[in-house]
Amino acid sequence: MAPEHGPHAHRDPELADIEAALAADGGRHAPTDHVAGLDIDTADHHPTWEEFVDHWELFREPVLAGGVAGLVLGFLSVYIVLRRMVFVSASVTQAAGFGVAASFYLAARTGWSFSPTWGGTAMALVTAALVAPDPRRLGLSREMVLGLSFALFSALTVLASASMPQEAHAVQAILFGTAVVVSPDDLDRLVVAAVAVMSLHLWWFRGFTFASFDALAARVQGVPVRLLDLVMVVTIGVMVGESARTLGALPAFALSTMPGVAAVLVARGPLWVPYAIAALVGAAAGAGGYVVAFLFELPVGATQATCAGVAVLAAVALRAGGGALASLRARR
Amino acid sequence: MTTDHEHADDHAHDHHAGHAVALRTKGLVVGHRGRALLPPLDLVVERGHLLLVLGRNGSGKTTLIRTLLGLLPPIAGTVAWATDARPAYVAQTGALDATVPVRARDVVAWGALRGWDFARPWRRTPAAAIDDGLRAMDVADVARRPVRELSGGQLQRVLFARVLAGGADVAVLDEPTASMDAEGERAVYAKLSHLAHERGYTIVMVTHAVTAAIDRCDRVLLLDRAADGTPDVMYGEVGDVVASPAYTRLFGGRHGA
Repeated sequence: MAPEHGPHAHRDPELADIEAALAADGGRHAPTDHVAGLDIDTADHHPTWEEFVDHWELFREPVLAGGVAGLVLGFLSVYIVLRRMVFVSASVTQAAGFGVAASFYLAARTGWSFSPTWGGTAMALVTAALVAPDPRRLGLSREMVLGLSFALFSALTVLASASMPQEAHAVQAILFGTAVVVSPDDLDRLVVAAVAVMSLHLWWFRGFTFASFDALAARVQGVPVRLLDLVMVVTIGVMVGESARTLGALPAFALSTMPGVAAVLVARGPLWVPYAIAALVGAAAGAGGYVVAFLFELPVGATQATCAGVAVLAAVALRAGGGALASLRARR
Repeated sequence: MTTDHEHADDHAHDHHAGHAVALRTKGLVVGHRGRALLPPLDLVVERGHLLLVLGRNGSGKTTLIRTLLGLLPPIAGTVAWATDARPAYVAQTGALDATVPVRARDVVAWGALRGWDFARPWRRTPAAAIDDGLRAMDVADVARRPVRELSGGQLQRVLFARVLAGGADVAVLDEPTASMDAEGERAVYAKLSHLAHERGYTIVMVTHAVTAAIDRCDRVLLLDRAADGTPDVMYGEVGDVVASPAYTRLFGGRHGA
């Protein structure tokens, strides 16, 4: 039997699902009139909250995926922001996006199909492992390595997309996020990764915080700082990779940075407070962003990212307001 | 500690001039990438003593204390701590990022994390130990404030409270009074002297605040370079070091700094 060739030979069912949904959706908007089973006349109609509730079973997976990814990425974002690892997150996210694009590319060009999820997660892990060690031994700074990987993976993703016009739309949708086609399997995988990452981080919370914020003192006291740093980067890689595949690279990056910024600006009290705030902000932006995108017919990934950004602006306002109040009280 | 780090107890009795020894180095050469910064050092630090490490910027002070702590490998020689020594490191106050929203109390609680138990990594510092440490350093009133709101002096005392709460008996300090005013410096050194001489802590301290510190310490290690660039190192009693040409060259006399 002659081997099948061409863009649709040996297609991964996951790829076929994505393309089918995007073909209906246009890849830009939350699934309102486009989702099977939701029969709405779209001419002058604007989606309503009641419709969202009535058809919850259609939105359950993407909303839960946004919430779960936002919760864990939000928690991790406190480390990412405070340890100045934002570029790490950006590079790992971009690498995950390239992994997804590469899986489409290989399917289109060679007929060899593998799951975009594994492509995204594998590239995220490889990149995390590459950027984790101290590159100064090679005469490079970490910024150099991160800048190189970010630019390289961005360029490769564009090149891969450009060379397969049929799939370019699907790749674009994954990079910028639609969350339209989150399947129960996607959600299961994301939840497994989320539970594993959160369990580890809560279990070793004191070690992670000490090693992150006073590394030399921690090393002197026998805390395995290098091991904890490695676990930190790998868990970020796993979660960002899985989220980038499920939600899109843009929301994955936004949710792994902005909740931490908001939390650090307003948190007071015990050390766990900023982490709890960031996790809640992330979950709200991830799940709430989807709902907002549905109601206002907006692109999902960009809406989730914007919701996280609005949380940062609110935190800035809250902090500025608190500072102004304190000044007023001091004058009196 | 690395294989080059041994225990002081393993060496011929751990006493020196009638005092138990906390730290002993033999032919210790420190530096980076095989390039020695200082000549071989033979140091003996007795328990309950305060060793002051002085020198110009770039003379190798920080490299030395990081080597003593096992953070950097020695180029040659050995570092030997007493078997039961529990060292802790207090970096400059600037080493703790001001953006981290951590309370003074949480910083002190980190003191109890010593070694790593993968099965029970959550073990807590007893609240009483945290309170005792904060009280001993006169910072109990700022325990619940974020460290970013503390003055340099307060933060330094919080970091030392962490040493106390964690049960360490050796403290290695890098510029503990950097960015403090003269009054703050005096208060910190008085407290450190009390901890060393009244409570038996062994303290190794790098500082530029010679005026405030010199009268509080027991021994001085002076790291300098001669006019031809060769390292000029002196280690001994305070009076001997202060009377040396190297000290006069660097600080202009006993209270010249």
